[in-house]
Amino acid sequence: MRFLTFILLFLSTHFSFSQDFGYNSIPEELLKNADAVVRLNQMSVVIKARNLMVVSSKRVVTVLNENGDRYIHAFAFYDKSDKITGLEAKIYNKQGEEIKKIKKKDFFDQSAVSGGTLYSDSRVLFMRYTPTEYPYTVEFNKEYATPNTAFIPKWNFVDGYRVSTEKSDFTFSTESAIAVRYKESNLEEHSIEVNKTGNRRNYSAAYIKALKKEPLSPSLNEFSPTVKIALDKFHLEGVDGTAETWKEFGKWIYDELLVGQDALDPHTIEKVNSLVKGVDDPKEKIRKVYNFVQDNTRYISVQLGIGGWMPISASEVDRVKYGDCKGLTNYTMALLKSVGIDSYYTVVYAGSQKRDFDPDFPVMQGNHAFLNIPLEEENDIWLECTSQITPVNHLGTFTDNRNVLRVTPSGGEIVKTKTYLDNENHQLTKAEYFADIEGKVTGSINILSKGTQYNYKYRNQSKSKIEQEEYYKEYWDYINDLSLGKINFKNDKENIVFEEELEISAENYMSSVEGKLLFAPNISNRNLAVPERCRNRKRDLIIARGYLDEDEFTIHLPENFEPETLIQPVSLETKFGSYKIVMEHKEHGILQYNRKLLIKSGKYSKEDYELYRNFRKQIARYDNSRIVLTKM
Amino acid sequence: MKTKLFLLLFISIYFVHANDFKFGKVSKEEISETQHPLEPDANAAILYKKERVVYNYDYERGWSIIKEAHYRIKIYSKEGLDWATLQVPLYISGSDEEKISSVKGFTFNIVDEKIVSEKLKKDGVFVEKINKYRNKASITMPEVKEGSVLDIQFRVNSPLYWHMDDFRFQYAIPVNNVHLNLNIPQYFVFKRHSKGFYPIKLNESRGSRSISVSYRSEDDPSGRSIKTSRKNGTLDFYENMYEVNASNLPSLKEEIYTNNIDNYRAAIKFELASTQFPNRPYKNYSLSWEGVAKSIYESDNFGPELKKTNYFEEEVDKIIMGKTDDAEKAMLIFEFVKSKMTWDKYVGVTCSQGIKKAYKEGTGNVAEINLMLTAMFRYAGLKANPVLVSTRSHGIPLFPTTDGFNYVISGVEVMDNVILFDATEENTSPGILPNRVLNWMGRLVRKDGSSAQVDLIPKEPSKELHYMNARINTDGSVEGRRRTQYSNQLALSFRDVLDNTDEETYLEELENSYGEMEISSFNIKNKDEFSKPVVETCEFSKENQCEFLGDKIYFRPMLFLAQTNNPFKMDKREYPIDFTFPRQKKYMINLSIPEGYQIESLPENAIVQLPNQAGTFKFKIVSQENQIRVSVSTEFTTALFPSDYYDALKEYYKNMVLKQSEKVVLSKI
Repeated sequence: MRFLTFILLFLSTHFSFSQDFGYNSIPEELLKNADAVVRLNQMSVVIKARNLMVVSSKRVVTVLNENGDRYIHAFAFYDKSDKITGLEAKIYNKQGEEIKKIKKKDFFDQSAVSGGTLYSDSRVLFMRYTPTEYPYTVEFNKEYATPNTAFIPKWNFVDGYRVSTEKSDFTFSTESAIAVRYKESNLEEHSIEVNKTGNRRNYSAAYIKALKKEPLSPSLNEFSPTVKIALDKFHLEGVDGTAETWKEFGKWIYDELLVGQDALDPHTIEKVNSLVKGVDDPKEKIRKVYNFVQDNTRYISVQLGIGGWMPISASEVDRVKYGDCKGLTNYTMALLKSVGIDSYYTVVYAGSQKRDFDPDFPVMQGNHAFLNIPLEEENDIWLECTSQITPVNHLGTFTDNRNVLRVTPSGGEIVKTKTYLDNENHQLTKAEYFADIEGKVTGSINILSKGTQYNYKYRNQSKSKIEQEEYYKEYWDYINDLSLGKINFKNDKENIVFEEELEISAENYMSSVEGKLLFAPNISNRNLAVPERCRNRKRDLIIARGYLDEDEFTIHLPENFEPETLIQPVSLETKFGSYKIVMEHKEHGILQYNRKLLIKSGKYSKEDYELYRNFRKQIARYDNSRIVLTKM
Repeated sequence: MKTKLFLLLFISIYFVHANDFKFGKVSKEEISETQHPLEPDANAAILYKKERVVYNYDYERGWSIIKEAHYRIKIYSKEGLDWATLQVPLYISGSDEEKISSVKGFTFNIVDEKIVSEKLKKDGVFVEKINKYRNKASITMPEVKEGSVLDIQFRVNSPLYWHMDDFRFQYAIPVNNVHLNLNIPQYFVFKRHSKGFYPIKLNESRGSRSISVSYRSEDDPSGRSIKTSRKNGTLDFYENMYEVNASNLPSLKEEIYTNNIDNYRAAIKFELASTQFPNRPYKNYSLSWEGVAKSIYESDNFGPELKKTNYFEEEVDKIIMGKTDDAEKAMLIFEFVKSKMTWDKYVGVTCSQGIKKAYKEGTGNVAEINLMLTAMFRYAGLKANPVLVSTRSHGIPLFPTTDGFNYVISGVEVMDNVILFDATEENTSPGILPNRVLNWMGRLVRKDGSSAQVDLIPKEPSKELHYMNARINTDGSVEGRRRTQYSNQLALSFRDVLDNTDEETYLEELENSYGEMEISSFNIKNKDEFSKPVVETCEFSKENQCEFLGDKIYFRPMLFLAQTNNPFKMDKREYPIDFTFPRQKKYMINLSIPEGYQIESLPENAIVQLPNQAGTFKFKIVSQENQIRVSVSTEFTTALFPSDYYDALKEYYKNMVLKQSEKVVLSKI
């Protein structure tokens, strides 16, 4: 303890920068597009032993307006094994004079349970301060010690959009002989100084301007400068770990966190075996076991100590019939094992914004677990064990197309999850419409959706009738007097196809001018969204997921009405995809409208953004276009 | 035939009677039921909810409450699985904490046509410290799947004998049966208020009770002696017994333009009104709105704070020196408080750090800021009083309860009028209050503790005026000048928007909000002149405003200002429609058409009205040579429409949208 005090003293002397925190000393270029300016962001991480890391930090932020309050970051998350040794905040006014001091005892202590978690032992200390004027400045000093060296703080030189950085300084040093790995990203582009001496590394940067957010751009993570650090030998909540390679790291997860957690009682083993009795096809077996899990369990998240990383045992899940992602994945794995199918616990960054595991940098990471099952001569099967309704091998936008860590008894490996091809995200709409003289249109519509389009819709079937109606009124919000008749769904879980059968009618769909009717033939699939304009676009255009829409509408015109002109055939071909309309006056009083829209996923240049917008604008205009019907 | 019917009747009566929901006794019918008989959409249902409340007395610890609850929950679908976790708030007051105990639970399923039960174990119960004021118990049941029936029972021991949470009878899922039973000793007088759309009947009766108490008594009543002796005695008293039995309560669903769904939830509130302990004086807590107001006024953190003046006298003297006009004095003081004080985002009717300290620090809660304002008004000789308010998120206070109010503003009486002030926000002005305050009635409390109702919803409509001069081009684009003016509540929210975004971002958002628009010469007038409407002017150009069909040009006369969407899409509505404050919109548009074209047809003029003139939409269009002049207005005289107005409102919007979608047709000369 005495030793620790000494170190802290040493650090605080080291920190006594003489900097003016007044607003007027902020260079003009850092104020542009900024809601806050990070005046100084400084952290020192010292590894004292495999199971002791001491972190001290000082963060000074000048907040320019209300939106900048979120960059103060004056909080401290902790759990039972952490020790917060210093916590203090100081508030400065515009002139840089200290006006308030907030001591550790004045911080609020609160449970840090996020939504969806039933119970967790993680907590947070945070301060409450009401700014009386903008700009104001907060200095926040924090010091803590933790045994969990599995998580060395990652250093971000950029905290987000609309925040600039005056000075950023990160020092890592180790007093232990354990080998250290560093992963530096995008440092050169931002002229960040690196100083390496013995067991110490220092990174510093100054005058990083604020970034504006741009639609359809790469995630901040990908292009902003960061430093990640990991130890080859680390510690996590009472468990030692080793990880020089992903293979080793996976081996550690397997040996320390998974092994032995898969035991099931004989009765359950007997039960699953009787479920798959007489079934030879491994895919069918998987389906049966997965259905069993979906029908009998639910998701409940409880995170305690090492339980934040170690699944509760399969027998425990079997008893209570609930668990978190780790527990349910491990349980499904155990059930599959008992019917002779090998499957692998897999760790992932889940979420519709794709995030990869770095193949070159093994370290504890991820926010979710699911299951991988390799099949002979076929693509792998993936199971999302926390959902009661997801079909076998449907990843959706939650876990698709990204590097994940597969944990096998012989070690870990980075594999890529299933990628949906653009045309696999397919929607086929077939409809027949009848228009009458009053301007009303009625029709029956059949929509088949696959891939990510399946993903967006299949939960609709469990909504109430009112919610379903609301969904369609929102989906077709450009049709004003929309009424819905029959709404039928067929969820083909085996082929992962979602079918909607609908009857709709819309009063006043056509407007009449001087006895003529104005009619927009694209009744039920208009893509009207155009990405926002970006003056002076800075970053690449990213279309994360593509799709293919095909529409075939048969339209019966009101009696005695004929089109004055048809929409001329349209065929747009761009690098972002293609768009086609063909309209035919098939026979007397019947029009056929066919449309095909393909959007291609990919990474495009920043110059392409405006071209892509033009493409989208054209689509919106054609989708809205109308024809004139005249009385014969 | 007749006998059979009789028999059936008899059986069903017998069944209803016998089915008394004994804990752990679940019928096969309950488990095998696949959908709710009245709401087939329901993902889950509360088959039975029983709550029992009794008082206990212990000489050392005094009075406490024991609450017992039993829930029987049915899960119909996988989406209903969330209902397999029950969360119970446990309140903390200083060193007194509510504690949960005797948690028991069973999950019932049918396996091979037999009822199988799984017991809840300790690992399914969690108690977590949320913050200083509250703990939370979570009970999550094992072995739950579609069809499961859950029986959960627990007890809460509460030393907070004065506090009872609302007893709720309606949830997002249907409730089949509820049974509530409270026995309250005569010493506690509770006010009962039932609320919601669904009527709940509360039965009252009386019963006697006696408890034996062993206690130490001081022989010397002055307390100076330390000699005590142990005594035994019995306490005889009567209890007020309250009972609710209700069945088939429909689920509660959210709809748009609803003030606060809790206003409609069937529930009963018990609030301590007075206590009368043996040998102690009668203590009144609250009984009427008058009483509530008086008790708040008399509390230490309200009335006395209002009387303090010395901390501000010097500065206020400076501000009002030489001023004689009351209105001017009020304005000066109001602006002074607004600029001096920053609201810490806490609501409440009482001060927390005290007004003096708040004044010194420059930040305070609602009560500190607005009581300070009231005190300064009074000091300057104005007839000012605090006005107690319940905010929109707090719900409508239908019954007098001490926690019925959660906010306070200031009211100045001028002639027969009361002008309301709220200094918590920068952009407010006299009579213009933040939307959160616009909730039904406030209560003005005078110096003597007497009080009166004050209407919080402004009478005068808030206006939005649009002026536009534009030229239609042959490529379908338009360009021109716009001027938009916002008054009252609309000005307040517009100024808030301007304050929260820098100009560049605001302009980008403005340009994007109309699809795609180029804006230049942007200017804002009266941004900080709060008594005047705020005015935004700009030049604009926008593409794609016309359709070309054949050799004709079609466009909406209101161009991009036309409302093309009916906000009311659903067929039916249960709850009133609340627009927060009365509104008026006006459009004056001048358009010039391109050369070489003539006007072939114009939409017709139209007027749409709501019943009783509650709303009027007017559309007028004229043309002269190559000029088109459009004037459109829509006005609601009230902010709140009962739900039976829904069809009329929907129709009103429908006609308005249709009219605004109609096109002008131009043809080549």
